[in-house]
Amino acid sequence: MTFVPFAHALASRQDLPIPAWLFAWAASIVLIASFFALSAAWREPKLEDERARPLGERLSAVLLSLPAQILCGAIGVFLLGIAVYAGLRGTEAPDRNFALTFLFVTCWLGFPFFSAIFGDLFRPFNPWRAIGRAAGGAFKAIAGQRPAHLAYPERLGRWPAAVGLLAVVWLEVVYGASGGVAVGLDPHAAAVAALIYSGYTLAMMAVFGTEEWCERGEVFSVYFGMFGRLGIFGSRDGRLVRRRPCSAVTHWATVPGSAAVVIASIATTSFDGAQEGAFKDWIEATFEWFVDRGVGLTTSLRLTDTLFMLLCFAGVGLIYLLGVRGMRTVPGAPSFARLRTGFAHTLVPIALAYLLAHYFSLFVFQEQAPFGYLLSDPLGTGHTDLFGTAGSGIDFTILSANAIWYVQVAALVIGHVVGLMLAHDRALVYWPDYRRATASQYWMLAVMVAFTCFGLYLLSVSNG
Amino acid sequence: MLPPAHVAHYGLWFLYAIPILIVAAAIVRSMTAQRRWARDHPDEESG
Repeated sequence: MTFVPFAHALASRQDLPIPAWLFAWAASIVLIASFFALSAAWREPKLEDERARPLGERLSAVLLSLPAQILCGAIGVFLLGIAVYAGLRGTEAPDRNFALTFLFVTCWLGFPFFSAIFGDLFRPFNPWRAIGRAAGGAFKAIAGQRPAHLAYPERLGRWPAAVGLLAVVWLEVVYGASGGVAVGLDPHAAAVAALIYSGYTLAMMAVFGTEEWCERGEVFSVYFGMFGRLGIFGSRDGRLVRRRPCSAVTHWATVPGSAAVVIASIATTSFDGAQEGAFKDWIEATFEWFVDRGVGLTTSLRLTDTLFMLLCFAGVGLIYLLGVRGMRTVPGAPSFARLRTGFAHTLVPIALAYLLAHYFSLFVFQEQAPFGYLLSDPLGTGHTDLFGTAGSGIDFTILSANAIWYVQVAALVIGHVVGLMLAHDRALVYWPDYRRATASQYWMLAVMVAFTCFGLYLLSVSNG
Repeated sequence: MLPPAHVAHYGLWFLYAIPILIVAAAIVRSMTAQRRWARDHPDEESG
């Protein structure tokens, strides 16, 4: 049996031509140059109008047809079922069980990465949406009318999804923390959590309606859909459309709680990157403080990690709110609440950049498993070899340490430049005078430079 | 304790903070200058 380590980034040592911190300086210069280029050349909003070109009628008819929707939904339900079964009945070794790699690598990372290019790919495969729609259809066929639902509280907005996002990451990196492995969560616990979440989601869909809950409260729909708004494909009026990249995201954050979702995404990624690096000393000191007061070891570890994860959430939120507060000082500024909501979408490309920078190598390495040994032995029992690939391993030479670093730097720089572009475009809506719009964006430039340097610092410490 | 390989990066945090401080200082300076100009020219639009 091939031993397959399940670590964040196992690759050769970095051999960079310049110190890592100089990349932070270079990235900052790129951001400042982009800021002035935007100020000079971009003098009216271009992304607010969500213009879209319809794709071929036949292609839309096939891809959006009922049989295609049923097929995609059935695939989603089937794969969720396989993952839960593998978690309940398979090995307890996280790296050898299909459940963890599928849930926390293939889905958790794959959907954001690919949705950001192609549009929301999760929606058609969402297993809970498929079940909810099927149940609604069955109810209508039997009762002769659509099921009645409660009105979703408008003020609740996407807050359930934001809290759920923190809970999912907490489960993965705090509850499942076992040191040195990317996903140390016990597969059985992951399967039980998936079953509990399924019950909760289906109950909420029954109360508020399937589509309403997917739009506001269902963690994965909201989270993956957020990145899908960056992508170029979408559907409108029953037809597939090709839209201008990043134009759909401009109207994403109008629902309350959206800012919390994207801040939670950046914060949890930051925490995961920092807990073994930049925050390690502080985490250890806090952990010892709890232990010295008689708290058990596991509880102390979880309390400490929970505390730091919440601190990251508060810290990222505070940086964003400082940027918004700065904009308020520019004459003609709208209210603080309007600015806070109005610029939240500018953090979406940053959330994607953080995700890509922190997990790109994990995704490339670990995603070899579902096509190799997990394909033939999904339960990890060591007794099954369905396709003759059970003995295969993971090729860690596929990416060098330098290549990973360059991807990380590029992701952070591009993500923040796109964030600046979105912020500049929105500023031109609030301040039609481009000089005032530019002045308002000094603050967002500071926010972007801060996020870029902080991200590169976390990565440089983690990469060692 | 940090693994030795991390120490060099860990202790260099201030080098990552310098660009942020430069941008923040530039913003504060620019805002101060703008306010002073607006105070000295109360009848004109500062833009």
